[in-house]
Amino acid sequence: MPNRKSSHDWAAELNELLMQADDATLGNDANGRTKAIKDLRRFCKLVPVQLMPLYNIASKAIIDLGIADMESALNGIHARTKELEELTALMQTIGKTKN
Amino acid sequence: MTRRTHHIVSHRVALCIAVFVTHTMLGCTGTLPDLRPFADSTVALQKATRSSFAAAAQTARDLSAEVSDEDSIKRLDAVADGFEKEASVRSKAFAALTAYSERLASIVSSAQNEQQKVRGVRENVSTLIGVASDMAGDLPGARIAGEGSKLLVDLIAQIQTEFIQARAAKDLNEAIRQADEYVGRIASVLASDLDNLRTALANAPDVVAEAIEKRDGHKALSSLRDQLLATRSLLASAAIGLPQKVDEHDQVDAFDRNDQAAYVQALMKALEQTRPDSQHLAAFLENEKPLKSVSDAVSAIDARRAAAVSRSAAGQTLVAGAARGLEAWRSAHADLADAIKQSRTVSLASLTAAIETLKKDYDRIDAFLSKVRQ
Repeated sequence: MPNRKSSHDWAAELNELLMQADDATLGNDANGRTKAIKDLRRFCKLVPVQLMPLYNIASKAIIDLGIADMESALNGIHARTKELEELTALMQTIGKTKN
Repeated sequence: MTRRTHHIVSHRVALCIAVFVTHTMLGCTGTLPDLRPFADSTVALQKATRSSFAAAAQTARDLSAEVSDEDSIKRLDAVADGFEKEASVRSKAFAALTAYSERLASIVSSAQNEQQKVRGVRENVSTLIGVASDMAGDLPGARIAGEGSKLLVDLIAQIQTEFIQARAAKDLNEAIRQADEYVGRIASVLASDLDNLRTALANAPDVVAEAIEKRDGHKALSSLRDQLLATRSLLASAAIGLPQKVDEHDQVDAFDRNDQAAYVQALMKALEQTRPDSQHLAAFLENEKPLKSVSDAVSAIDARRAAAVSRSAAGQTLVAGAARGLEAWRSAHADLADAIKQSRTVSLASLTAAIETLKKDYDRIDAFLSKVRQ
């Protein structure tokens, strides 16, 4: 079907999606990020090529969400590193005592 | 009953009591579990976890190579470095777990070796007694004395075997008791790590695909290809009366799916036959040149994107497999600790099965990634 949305409609839709993406990023909501990425990908596929600036903004938002996924995961991993180091040292102590 | 046979029977009763007492004092041990699969699975799990971290770091680097703004590149490189740094801490934890699981396996294998030696000595002594008994021939009481001695050797061997087994069970119990809490907590941290890696890679295929499409101008090229296809369709319909549905995506998609070379050949033939002297053929050919190069460019982007998406998806599979393997490992250790405490046998079949699947996944993905990187 030919696209009958105006450029204003497209811009309004993008605005909505960007707010959704911001909420997911600020709230560190992994499921929210996944939904925002899917919705923005769909937007990127459908937005007419004449509205390239809108496409570029949506595309950048997808990349940012992907980076947020990775940064959030790394923070979660790092948060338990000290605990792991202590447990590893204790396990090593047991091994040395026994040997 | 002669005095000699009575003496032998008394010996037999005394030894049976000794076996019973030893058995009771040391605790009934059941059969010692073969812990080699447990030690091997720890090593397999270490590899899978290391590869999971590497997959996350590689995905961040792949993405960094596709984006153009400095801030994103900086953040992605920092993330990749971070995953690599955290992986080295996990390697140390796994080295401690591997040393521990090797120690458990070696307690059992040492006991098995000692038991094997006891069996060897028993067989040798029994053979010697048999030879001595045969040499004594018909001397009164020689055969009974020989049988009595064999019985004595068997009972001593049995006590030794029981003792070795009980000592190994005690050592296992001690080692597991000391480490149980730490092993559980380390496994919990590692499970949380893998859950985080799953989050890191959850949307990676979509994000990497988007980065590649943006960088290579997929949208603009696809749009241009669609326009050229529409022009081809217009020319064809004008020339040979094909239905003119160029504004409908279905029609364009149908052209895409068809054998392009055969389709173009058929169109050109039709144009030559129906409009040999018209400008249609020239216009058609004029349209075909850019169409081919644009279509090739779009196909190249599609192929590059498909390879990158497969790499990200392989990382996801690896993380999911490592998480399943870790869960099986953790529950096998808990079961083992329980079994040793309760002096019951333990089965590592489900752990072995989970680790076999993990190894297969790992080998398959490793082969795939090596192929893709070439």
